[in-house]
Amino acid sequence: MKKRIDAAKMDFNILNKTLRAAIDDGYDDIEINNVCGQRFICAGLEKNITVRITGIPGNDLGAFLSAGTIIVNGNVQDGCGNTMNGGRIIVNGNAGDILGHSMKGGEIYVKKNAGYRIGIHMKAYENDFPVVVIGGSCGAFLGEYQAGGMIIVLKIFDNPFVDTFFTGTGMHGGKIFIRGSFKEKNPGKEVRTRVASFEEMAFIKQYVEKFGSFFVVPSNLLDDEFTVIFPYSHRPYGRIYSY
Amino acid sequence: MNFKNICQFSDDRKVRIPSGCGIAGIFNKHGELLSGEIIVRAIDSMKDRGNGLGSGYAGYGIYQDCRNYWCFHLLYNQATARDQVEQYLKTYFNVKLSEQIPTRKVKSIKNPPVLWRYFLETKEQMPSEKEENLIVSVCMGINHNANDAFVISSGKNMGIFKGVGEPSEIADFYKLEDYKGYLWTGHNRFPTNTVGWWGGAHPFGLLDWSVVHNGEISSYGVNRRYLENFGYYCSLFTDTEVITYLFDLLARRQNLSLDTIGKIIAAPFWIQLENYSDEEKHLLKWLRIIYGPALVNGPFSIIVARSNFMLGINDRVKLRPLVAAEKGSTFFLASEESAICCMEKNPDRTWTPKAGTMTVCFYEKEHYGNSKDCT
Repeated sequence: MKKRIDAAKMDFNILNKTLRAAIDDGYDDIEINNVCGQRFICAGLEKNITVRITGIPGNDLGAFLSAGTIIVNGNVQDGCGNTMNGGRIIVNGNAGDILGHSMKGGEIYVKKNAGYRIGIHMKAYENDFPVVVIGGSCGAFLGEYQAGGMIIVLKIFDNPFVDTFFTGTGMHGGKIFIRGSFKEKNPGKEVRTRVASFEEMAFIKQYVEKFGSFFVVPSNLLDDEFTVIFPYSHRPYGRIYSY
Repeated sequence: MNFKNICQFSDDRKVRIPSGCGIAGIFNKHGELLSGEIIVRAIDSMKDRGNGLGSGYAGYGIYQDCRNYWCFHLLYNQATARDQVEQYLKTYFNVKLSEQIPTRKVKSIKNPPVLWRYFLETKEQMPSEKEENLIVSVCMGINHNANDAFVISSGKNMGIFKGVGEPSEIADFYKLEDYKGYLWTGHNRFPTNTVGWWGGAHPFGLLDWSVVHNGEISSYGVNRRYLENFGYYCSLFTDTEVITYLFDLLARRQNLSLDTIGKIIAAPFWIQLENYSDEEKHLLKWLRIIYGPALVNGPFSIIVARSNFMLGINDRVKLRPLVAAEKGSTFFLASEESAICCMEKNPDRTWTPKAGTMTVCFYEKEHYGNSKDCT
């Protein structure tokens, strides 16, 4: 069942209440138009529904999201997918800073570029495995304190306004895949880089293909070499505190 | 030296609430005048970034009829302080006009201070640099020494309107819709480490500088002591004050380029210097050695405006947000992209500037001085 919500000039908590009421009424394909800066949209959603957003959603879009799909026709701001448990966010534009902050499960696909500290504190647990795929480039501190999960940066779009310094600072789990080479002279102290193995390429294939099903992208991305950024230790500073 | 009574604010000082402020700016580089409403729209859309303990606006080009006079906006906590300050002003200036800043009653704004503005010219003709130095020392004199009186802005053809309240309330209070300017900056405050009081709201001004800031200056103490060597005294109990004075010192008095100032206040890490050419590395090292105490540390995104430009800059590791956009001859800066969207629905270009680098837009010279009304 479809429903349309006009969010023009609507306060964020009224918008979220309207959205939750619509979900309780059994609508499973909800379109929200004229969004401009409302925060926390779809926060804590637990039902397997689709929400389509037109405009610029505010900070923390899909925070604590557990299920469902959010499709954004436009850019998202900071903190999208904050502490997400499951579900999927598809962004047809750019993302701001700290995308996927503390994300524990689910998938985020961003067509173009993303800001600083993407995937900060991301973690995996038992069957939960969070994945972030960025079509363009990411800013500095990518995967900061990352403990699990996977970030894939396809670099289809270049962003002249990004730095890549301190990538993986404090990282102690999970992996970051970057298409092509990674030449940053000052990455985080806790990471190493190498060329992705055949098995790893086979593993990321499903996510890159899914990305290709959402957006129009070159089809031969997987023919290129990918660089893996990985932590050299699961517990790099363990000795400082234990001995 | 007559120190101000800090104790009157001590109760507020015990309150600690973590959050961030919201900032926005709009600048038409051809000098076309825009109503103050436009910046209110942007700041009001980010009202959740603040908590109603401070909001303010700076407008440039708003006093076209008195554009050649220095305009002082004064805040008096006690009406009695006025006589003392006016006498002081009269020793240096001819007062062309002295009037109360027009305000309207807003229910939620209780006990506002007495707000007055003066249009002034110096008694004797002097070179512009000397005149500007005089203005600075008069401002410092009043802020530092006069009881219950604070200079809020002191430039030509510009003014700062600020206070304690939500963004829409403060705009209502000052009748901001009656002003038209080619450059507006606005701020929505969530005081964290310092008090929420009228003088501590943003923007901060000195001469035609105005600064709005989201973040926290952890180098405040060092910066403040450094600035005291040059005759700048911080008396407004808010960290942002040092940024205003740093810009005045470095850009106006020491005539450094904005680019160089960016490298001083948001210097790259020592470890990153290896990535620069030898010449640049040399310059960056020297700047760091000479201007170490002018380095601004801690999370910040700021918008700095002057009569002929507006700029935005982040801390070097991007701990606060800043988005820039362009539409024709208009330049926008804001904490959130949605705030820019409230000013302009379809910008030609939107981008997020690199951390620690300046994004500047200058007045286009051929248009300078012929502001025209387009609203």
